[in-house]
Amino acid sequence: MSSKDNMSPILKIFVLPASFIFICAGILTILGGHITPGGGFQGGAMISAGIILCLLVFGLEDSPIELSEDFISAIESIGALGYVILGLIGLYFGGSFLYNVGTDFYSIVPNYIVNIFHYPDVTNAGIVPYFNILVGLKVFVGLTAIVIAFMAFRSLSDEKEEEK
Amino acid sequence: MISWGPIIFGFIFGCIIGSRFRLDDYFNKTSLLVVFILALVVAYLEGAFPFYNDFVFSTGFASAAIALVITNLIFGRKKNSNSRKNTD
Repeated sequence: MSSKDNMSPILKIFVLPASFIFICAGILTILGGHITPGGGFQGGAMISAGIILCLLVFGLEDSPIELSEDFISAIESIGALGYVILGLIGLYFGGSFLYNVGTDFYSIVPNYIVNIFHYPDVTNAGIVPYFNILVGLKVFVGLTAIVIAFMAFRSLSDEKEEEK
Repeated sequence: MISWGPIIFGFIFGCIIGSRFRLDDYFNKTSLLVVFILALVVAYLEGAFPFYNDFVFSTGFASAAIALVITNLIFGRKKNSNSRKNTD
């Protein structure tokens, strides 16, 4: 009998709504990272905590939130490449890597570029919220992938012990 | 003035994660409705976080919850727990 079979039905009923709220709070932390405490890493860790909670209670095979290998690699790639591409856009138009082309403090970037990369809210944050979003994507799949890998290794070792 | 940033990107982020949800015996469409109402209450209690004053509730939280529910209803399906055993 595995550990997930020992989980009570009360815990199984509670855990997915709690994960739902955790994930929404994590998204909110990411989106408010440029004006409040928080940001991409913290919000991504909160989202990951919600998913890991489901994995611990339901187990890897029966988890209601399924992250496939292709999904994890795609989101990791989007997060890393998006960060580098935004930095290179700052290098090309502003002369320095990660220059904030959405705010353009030195007025050296064409207006149409500033309008494209300006985050649509009342603050003048420029591309900082986009960085938070990309880092949040990368962190949430990264932390979850570590736990998924540990659980998969554990199930493999359990199967080998049963064969012996 | 409405801040569209958290509304748009909260929805996109919610769609990305909500597409991975799967409905099962412990979490069906009825409980999804209850959780959605709970999420709206939490969004209202958060207030106009983070420091926007366009609505009385947190727009990023609410749009993420709406996206999670919509993608749950579109992509959420009942898991077939015997499928893996049959293939083995």
